[in-house]
Formats: sequence, structure tokens, C-alpha cells
Amino acid sequence: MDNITLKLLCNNKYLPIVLSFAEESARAFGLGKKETFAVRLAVEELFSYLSKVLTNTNIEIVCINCIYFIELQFIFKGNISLKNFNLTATISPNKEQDLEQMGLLIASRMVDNFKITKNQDSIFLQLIKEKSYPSIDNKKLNIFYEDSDSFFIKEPNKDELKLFAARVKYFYNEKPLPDFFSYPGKLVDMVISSNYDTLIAIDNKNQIIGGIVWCSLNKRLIEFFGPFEFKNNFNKPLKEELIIACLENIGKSDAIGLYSKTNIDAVSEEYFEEIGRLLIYRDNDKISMPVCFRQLKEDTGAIAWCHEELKNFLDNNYNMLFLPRKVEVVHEMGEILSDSSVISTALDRSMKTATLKLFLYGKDFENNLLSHINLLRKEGFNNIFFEIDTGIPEQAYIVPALLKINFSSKVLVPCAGVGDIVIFQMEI
Amino acid sequence: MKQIPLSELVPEYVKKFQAYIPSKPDDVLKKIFNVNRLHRLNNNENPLGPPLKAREILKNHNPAKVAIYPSGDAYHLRNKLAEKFDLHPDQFLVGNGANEVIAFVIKAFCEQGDNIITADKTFAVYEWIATFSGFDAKLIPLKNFEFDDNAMLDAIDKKTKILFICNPNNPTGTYWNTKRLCNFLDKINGQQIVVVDEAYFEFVDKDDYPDGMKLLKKYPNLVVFRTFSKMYGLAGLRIGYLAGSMEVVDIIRRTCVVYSVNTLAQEAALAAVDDNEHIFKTREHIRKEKSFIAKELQRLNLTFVAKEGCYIMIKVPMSDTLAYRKLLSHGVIVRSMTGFRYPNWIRLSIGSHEAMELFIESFEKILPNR
Repeated sequence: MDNITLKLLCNNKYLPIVLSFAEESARAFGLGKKETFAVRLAVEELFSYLSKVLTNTNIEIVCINCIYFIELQFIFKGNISLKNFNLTATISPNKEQDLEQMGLLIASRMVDNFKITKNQDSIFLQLIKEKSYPSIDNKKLNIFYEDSDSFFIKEPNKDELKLFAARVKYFYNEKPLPDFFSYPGKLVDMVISSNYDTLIAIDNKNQIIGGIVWCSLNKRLIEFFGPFEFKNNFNKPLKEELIIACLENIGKSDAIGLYSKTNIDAVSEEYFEEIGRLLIYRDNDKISMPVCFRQLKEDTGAIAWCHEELKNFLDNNYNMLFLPRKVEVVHEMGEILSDSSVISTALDRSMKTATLKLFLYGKDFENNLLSHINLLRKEGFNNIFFEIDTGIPEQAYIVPALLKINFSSKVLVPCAGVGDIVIFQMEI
Repeated sequence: MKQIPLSELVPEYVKKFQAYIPSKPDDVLKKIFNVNRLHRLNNNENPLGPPLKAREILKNHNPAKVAIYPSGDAYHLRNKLAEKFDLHPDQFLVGNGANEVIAFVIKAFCEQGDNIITADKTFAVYEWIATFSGFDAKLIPLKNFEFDDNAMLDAIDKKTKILFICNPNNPTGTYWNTKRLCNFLDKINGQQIVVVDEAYFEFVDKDDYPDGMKLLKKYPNLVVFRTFSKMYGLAGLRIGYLAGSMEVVDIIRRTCVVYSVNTLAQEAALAAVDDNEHIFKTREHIRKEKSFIAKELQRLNLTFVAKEGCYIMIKVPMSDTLAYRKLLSHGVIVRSMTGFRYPNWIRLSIGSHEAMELFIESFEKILPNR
């Protein structure tokens, strides 16, 4: 992936250089006028904020071309209060300090994703802005299939991929699909970027009759979408063949698990384990979606850190899945806690879905979470999830607060993080 | 502390490669899965163990000899093999398991931009070594569980240096007969190195099964792999070897790590190599137990592939990794095969009769709706 780096002192006098760098990089990596402007605005707010809180600190700004989006990373070492990076950092127009933080809020709203990560002693602030793509007009599609009796599976070329995306949208329009099926050009770029992979099925009349899409969520977990079937009655089961082809493709990858939380077209039980259900609210509908999973490697056992109140859930799931885990219960024993917590939030606006994770545990966690929920609900997010990682002991402590605020544990996804991931869903 | 600039130091092909994580030792697995017995049916080991003469060597080994370096090139063992196969001792190279000799061959013949050809669903080490050494591995899909000779020939290009054939194939147990192998070698016409991996040679009792050693005179580009890990039950000592024409082995020797095979392994292999009785006993055991398992699998109405070798492939009506975990919770360890590109298949190594009975008993319990 192409990337351009700017290294400088974090001082507001360099703002014009930073803006010029962000704007020119975004343009060079293919962002449109509107998106480039949004990036410029976000960078302006973020750099202005950082130059106030980081004095005499070197900062590295990296712009990465990820084909269908650009990522701007602000990398620095320093002590800053991370609580301002909560989605809900409260703003009072009467306080000068709060007005400074307003910039962060603006920055986060200008981009598609705003993440904080830590690597050893460095802090990474990542701004992600996607390119815009034309959407499919479903009404113009009229798909008719000729009779056929056999098929084969292959990697699609660019144009086959666009036809495939259009067919998914046509045949599965009522289902909760990820937005990239509405933008075939985006799916093409996602595959070119190597973040996504696709296989399609072609019949003996050269018609696209199905397919499957998958992407790595992290080094350990792959998420798949499909398998989609547009036509059936062949000599062998199309969906099963697509799953086998996908598994053959990723069988030697370094991923440990394969899962789908949008199990749209019920996949064969023989290939996956149903690990729970999530309720997806979409317009006025409520759809219960089975989440399915399978391991790709032989499980070698692990420790699962857990709060007493989650122990039964974990024990039941580990027994059901025959997963060898040593469950260790954590207890707060008067140790010092940070005053402020930080929650990271990933939003999928098209699906009205918010996924929260703990970035930093602190005394105010419950209130902070409540603020997040209030804000998200106000903005119309009906699908609110909180993911905790059983491989990180700190995360176990937040369970009572989650349960108190009406979250309930729904799904355990093995090996999806440092350890296993428990998905909590907010009951609405 | 200074950070190591790993992204600059590590070659791209290594960055992309994923390390193989072997299964944990028995004592750890027993603890993790909370079982008090464990039958390892995942590594195609010989349930009868090593031959008697090799056992004697192990029992009587003088600890003082451990302080002395072994023969750097397995001198006595190579002489013994030469005598057995009517070849010259310099036509043999002995390695720390057959895995090591695979690396010798690839290092000897491949340079940047070169490729090797093998099957997609076979012993993974040919592909691994090529890939993490920066060479392309062209993987030809099996056809009816067999290596596809025509497709392999079609895949050859100017950069192809080695073709690997696993005969019989691990995990499918299929093999090319003498006619098919010779026909393939004739078409190659000495232009590339052809490696025939005969790790399971001694398990095959078929008239038309080729003996690679006998073909070396006619095909100087042929390299044959054999091992003491399978039939001879010396897997824990790690010893295997290759044989080829003098000129080819002379090249491979240049990339060979000397002193990598320990004294005990060399002496045990030397003692084991002539024990035909052990081969007959093992074959008989495998035949009997395979037939027992096959009958049981038929009774359970399950698809399986039981050809040559000391293993069977079974199609399971669930994810193979789930079957692995469920069986382990009963004290039986099998090989899950998603990593072999055979999703929902497991490979069962033939073990003792007790282990086979326990496998069937446990397997029946884990099958859905039974």
C-alpha cells in the first residue's frame, strides 16, 4: 500500500503544512472533492487540538492509500488525557477548555471512522475516510436466468464482480446486507485492496448464479458474507460448494476462525456451529440473525478472564463448543483505578449499528457508557453492541455495568481477539 | 529500548508466511481437555513402535557417546543403504527427518523467481519450504484424490525446477503405478528434478506400485525420499534420507547441513533397516485395523477414503475442528483437515486395536442424532 509520511513538531505554526499534506495526499489517493474537504476539516481540528495538549512533541502523520479509503495516522508519544476521545466527550459552549474539545467532536464527525490505538508507548489516532461510489439502481435491474444444470467456481474479474454485487442486492434486498453490495465499484476496490476476497459460481450458460465474500477482521478471524445463491437445482449443492471453496482458500491462512454475523442464507450446519443469535433492528423490522462460526485450526486451549456475573454464560458456551478454557474470575481488591474510562466506537450508519469496545477502564465507566448509549439512541442507532475480550483481564470488570445498563451477553466468538470475544447486545 | 525495524529486516515472503504451530505435548493436552488418557491418532506413527533390533540399540546406548559428535554424513548408514538398494553410498543423503532433505533439494535447485510444482492437497512441507524460501509453489488440484499428472506437466514453465509427487499420497493414500510414473518421467525428459516422496513406501503391498530406487538408473533427474519415522517407528529420533543419481546428489550435498543427524538415530536406523519381519507384522496390523475401521464406518454410513498408507480419511458431518475438539474430550486425537484444504474431513492414523475401538466408540458418541 502506498503511503506518505510527514514528521514534524506538534506546533500550530505548522498547521498550513499539515493541511496541505492531508489535502494533497487525499487527492493523490483518489478521494473526491467533498471527501477531501472533510479530511482537511478533520485534520485541522485534530492537529489544532493536539498542538495545544502536546508541547515540544514530535508527531508523525502518515497517509495510507487503502484503495477504497484513506487512513491518516497521527503517531506520537506523550501524556494526554484520552477521555476527550470518547465519542461523547461533553461540550459546554461556556467553557473555553470544552470548546477546544469541540474540535475533536467535529473531527470525528467528518470522517467514517476515528480510532485510537496504543502500541507500546506510542499513541495512534487514526482517521478513516472512504471514497464515494455510485450506487445501484435496483429498479433498473431485471434479472432473468436461462435453464442450466452445472456450474463451476472461480475468482471473478472486475466486471463479473460488479454483476455479482448487483445480483446480491437484487435477490437479497430485504436482508440486512453490508453497504458495499449497494456500491459494486466499492466491492471491486475492496477486492483490489486485498482486504476482501470473493468467489463466484458460473453455470454452463455463463451466468453468475452465486458467490461468497470474505475479509480478515484481524489476524485471527475472518468474516464471511453469503453464500449467496441466485439460482438452484444443480447436480451438486451450490451453497455447500461455495463454502468448501472458501474454506479451501483460507485453510492455510493464519486465521484461526471463520464466522458470520449476517448469516443471510442459512448455511449448512455441517460446516458451522451456531454460536448464538443477534437481533437486528432494521426500519420497523426486528430480525433474529444466527451467528455461525467454525475454527480453522486445532484449538490449543487458553485462559478466559471473566467476571463472576458472566461465569455461567462462559461455562455454558465453552461446554457447548467443547472449547478447552480455564476460566479465571477477576475481583476488584481496592487497587487504584483511573478516573476516566475511554470507550471506542465503530459506527455503521447504513445499518444503524454501533459496536463499542473498552479502550481504557476507569471509575466513570458506567456513566460514560450511559452517555454513549444516550447519544447513540438520539442519533437513531438501534443496534448497539459491546464487545469484551476474555484475553484481556481488565475488560472483565465492566460486566456488571453492562448488565445494569440493559446489555445482555448474546454470543461468544472463539479466538476473535486476544482471547474469545463476548458480544453483548443492548436490549431496546 | 530501541525497536527492531522488523518490517525492513524481514523479507516480504517471510512476512506473508504463517508459522506452523505443532500440537501441545500429551501431558498438557490431557490437562487442557481434562482427560486421563490420550490416544494420538494424528501423526501416522507406527503403533507397533520400532523394530526389535532398534529397541536393543536404544536400550543399550552408552550415555558417554552423547558427548561425541555423530558421523557428520551418516557414513555407516549410507553404506548400509547402498548395499540394500544396490547403489553407491554417495547416492544417499541422510537428514534430520525427511523434512530436512526436502529443504536441501529446494535450496540446491531454486533461486529467485523459480517455482516448484506439487498438488494442492498433499503433504504440506514442499509448499511451505518453497514459500518461506521465497519461491512460488504451483499447486495442482488433485483429481479423484490422485495427483493429476497431465495438469502438472501443463503447469511446467521455464522457471520450474522441481516437481514433488507424494507416492502414496498423504493424506489420500492414492498412488501412481509404475507405468504412470515412468510415463510422467519420460515426458519430463530429464528437464526438471522430479522428487518422489516415498515416506509410506513400506506400507504398500501392490505389484504395480513403483520402487523409486529401481528407477534411479534410468532417470538421473529422479530423487527419492524415504523416512525411518513411519514404518520403522523412529519418529522421535528424526531421521530420513534421499537417494538420487551421483551428479544430482553431488549438487544437493552442497546445501546439506552436516552433523544434523544424531548418533542414536543413525545407529537405530542402521539396526532397523533390514528388519523385514517388522514390515510384515506392521502391514498385517494396518490391514486388519483398517478393515475393522472400514466396516465400522460403513455401519455408521460415513464416507471415507481408505487406500494405501497407515491412515484413513473420513468425511465428518460437522466441522472437522469441532470433531477434533469433541474427540479430544474423549481422549482421542485425530488430524483435522481444513489445513490440508479438506474441510470437514479428518485423518485417522491406524493405531493399536484398543485405540481403534476407543475411536469408534467416541466417534459414535459425537455424531449428531445418533
